[in-house]
Amino acid sequence: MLIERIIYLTMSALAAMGPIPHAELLRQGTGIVIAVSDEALKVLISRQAPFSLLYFSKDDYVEATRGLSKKEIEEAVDLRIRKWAPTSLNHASAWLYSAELHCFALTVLAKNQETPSTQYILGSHGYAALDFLGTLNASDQYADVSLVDMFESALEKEVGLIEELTDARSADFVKLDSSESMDFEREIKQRHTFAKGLAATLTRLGNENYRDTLPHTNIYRAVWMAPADTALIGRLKSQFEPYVEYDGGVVSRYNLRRLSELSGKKVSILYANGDEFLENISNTTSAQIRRDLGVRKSRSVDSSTQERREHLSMLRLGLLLLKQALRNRAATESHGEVGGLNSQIQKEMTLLENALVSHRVWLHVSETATKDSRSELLRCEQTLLQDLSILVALARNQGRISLGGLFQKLAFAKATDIKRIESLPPTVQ
Amino acid sequence: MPPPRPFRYHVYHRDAFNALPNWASHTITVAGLSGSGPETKDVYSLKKDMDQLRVEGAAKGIVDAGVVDVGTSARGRKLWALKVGLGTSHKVLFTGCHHAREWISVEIPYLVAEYLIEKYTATPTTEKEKRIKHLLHNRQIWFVPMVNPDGHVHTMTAPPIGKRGWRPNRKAYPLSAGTIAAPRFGGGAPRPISYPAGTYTGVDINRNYATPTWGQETFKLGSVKTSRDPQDSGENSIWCGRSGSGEAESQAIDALIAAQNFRASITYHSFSQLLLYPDAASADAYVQWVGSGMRDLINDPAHGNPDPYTYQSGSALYPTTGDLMDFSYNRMPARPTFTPELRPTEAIATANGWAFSGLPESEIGPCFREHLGAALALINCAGHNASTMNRGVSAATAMPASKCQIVRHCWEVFRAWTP
Repeated sequence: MLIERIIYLTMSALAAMGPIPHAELLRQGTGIVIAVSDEALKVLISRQAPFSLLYFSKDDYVEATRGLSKKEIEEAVDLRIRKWAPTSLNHASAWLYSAELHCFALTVLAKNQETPSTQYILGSHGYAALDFLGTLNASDQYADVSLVDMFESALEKEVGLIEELTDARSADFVKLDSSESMDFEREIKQRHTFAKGLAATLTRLGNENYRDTLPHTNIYRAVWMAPADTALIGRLKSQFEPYVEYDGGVVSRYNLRRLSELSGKKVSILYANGDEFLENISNTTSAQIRRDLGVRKSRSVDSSTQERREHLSMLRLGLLLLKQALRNRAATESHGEVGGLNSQIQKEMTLLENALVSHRVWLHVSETATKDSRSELLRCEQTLLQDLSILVALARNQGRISLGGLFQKLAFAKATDIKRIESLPPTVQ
Repeated sequence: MPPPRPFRYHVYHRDAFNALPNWASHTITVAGLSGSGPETKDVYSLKKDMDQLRVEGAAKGIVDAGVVDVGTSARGRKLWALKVGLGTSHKVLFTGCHHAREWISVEIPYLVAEYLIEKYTATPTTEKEKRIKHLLHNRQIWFVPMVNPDGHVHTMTAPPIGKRGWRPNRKAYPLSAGTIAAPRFGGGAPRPISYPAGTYTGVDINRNYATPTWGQETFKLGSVKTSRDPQDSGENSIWCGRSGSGEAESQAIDALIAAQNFRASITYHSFSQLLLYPDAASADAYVQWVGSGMRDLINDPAHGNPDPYTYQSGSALYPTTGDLMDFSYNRMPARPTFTPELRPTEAIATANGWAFSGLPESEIGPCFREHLGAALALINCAGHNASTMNRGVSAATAMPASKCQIVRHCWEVFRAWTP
């Protein structure tokens, strides 16, 4: 399978390597941006070529430069060379996380299309995906976090998700689909039960702070507000909130509880996850930001709805991973809370799977209507294995021993995942 | 002493460091800025590095090995401390990280401590070495780089537990529903507050100090900047808590200040590239002399920062109550006390996403180099007795009068100072 990585190196360095198959994308100063296969990249590594990794895949490069002029592309690439490339491997975990979400979503879809016996195997595959994601999150690093603090964090996130679901239930898009509204209602009730369970556990463990009350949480969205008068900008500055001026207004994170402060202004929610806005503006040029804000501001209700659903599923997944880490930790401490957590984890998985099947989040557009999710899943897993293989090579090249070890460990796990899919009985037509 | 090593952020401590050599880094996973995915970082252990500095400094005779911490946080973590220098009456306090996400505010006080201990020699040969020896033989400097360890740990914990943008401490208050008539700083009608029952986590430690104005709300452009409302707790908390110096962390610093009679203090924050002084010190010639001198040292073109720091009163940024700078000046009148808001500028933060914990490691070194001279200047200027007669300004020279003539050089000597 041909996967192309995007790298930058000087023309002289490339020339010194001898003939290397590549596709030229851009000439930048004395350097060149090229797409190379993993085989070619490994040759460059073996010849100690001084290159910078710019994008893990050509798709990422295409997406990053979509709709930009030549000059804007050059600026985006220049920023990438200066800011992102020097610590490129530090971003690999986030990239792998996103890739595994894709495979996980396909696993759930495939499971939904299969017979009961195959569903069981795919169910195990889904839990393997969760283990993969948990490893990326370095949940072994919770060793420095007490069990009580982990439970507290789970309770905070549970209540946070209840708030998000409550807000979603009242959102305009839900009225278009009353079954979704009822799903939210049921899930909110379920989660209140989870929250009470976690609070009771904390009380048993000696943290009395939640015996009678649940955590107070805040939701932050990234919001476009107009007009951008000096009072508004002054207020954002005094709150140390990064903002971007756009289309006669500003875009910034805002506490949902405080949206009433914006009465009299035009307000449009552009990011369901306010923190995602922060991440985007830290890694992109102003042209890229304007392009992305333009897309978000003019997108359809369906597109906005789907983003909200993805955000909710991301929160569900985060909580599920946390409860798994909590269960594993409680088990190592021979704690009596394991049984309760196992029950919550199973229900969490069901809630997440239902959401993924109903709303097809974390999928490519072409996959949302597919009837052959199993083939798509296999392709996804094989791609991820290849990604891990090149990351191992890159980590070793940079002397990043422990990071290379992590990627190697994940590659072994992924090879097992692929065998599991390949060994499934043929699909019954 | 540490071998030449890259500038990295410090984490409070992790067990994994126990098996590593001194001064080593360790790779941890932190939440990405968006919180939904992980990012790896190489970090140092603040505990381990400070322990080693303590040992090496004690071996040189300039660090009190008996001072390890100045108190304990709400969740039982230590406020690690170094007491450096042989002075007995000219004491200076350096603090950092009242706000958890302001990672750079740990590094500057730590690096100043490391610098002094590393560079000290009992047999100086260069002018710099002589100056450092003079400082450490005549001053006593307390470094508490991480006043908010619980919050800082929270920002550096792997996802989905960790939250990069967390600001306050991690104290939780279960409260019944209630109402407060919150007094307003400067007068005016109290703000009626009504909050539901809930457990509210996260007091802003830098609104919690027992100043005479603690608990009075402040505003800027209609936005509350010091709040009595528990609903203003959480990630971006500006909640001042339930009582002045009521938090474990502020109590520890309060007690330290009460016990030590400091002559100067500095408390690091980020961001915006400002050097703030207390409003009450606006007409204090000595404090202004020292502060404007520090500003000049920070803004020395030799440091290569094209964006100079702005020197202004705390309320020019926005008014607050219960903050350490005002508390220090209230407890130590006429003593220089400042709050640097470190890198980056607002414009750079917005353009690059470098606000708070988003500031890359490549900025630590340049930030330290531009602040080192000013830090040493503050220590040096703490040797001068700022009594009432010194607070006037000489009509002839426009400099602080009488004994404060001597202060003319208390910061000048650190011009163009490099590590």
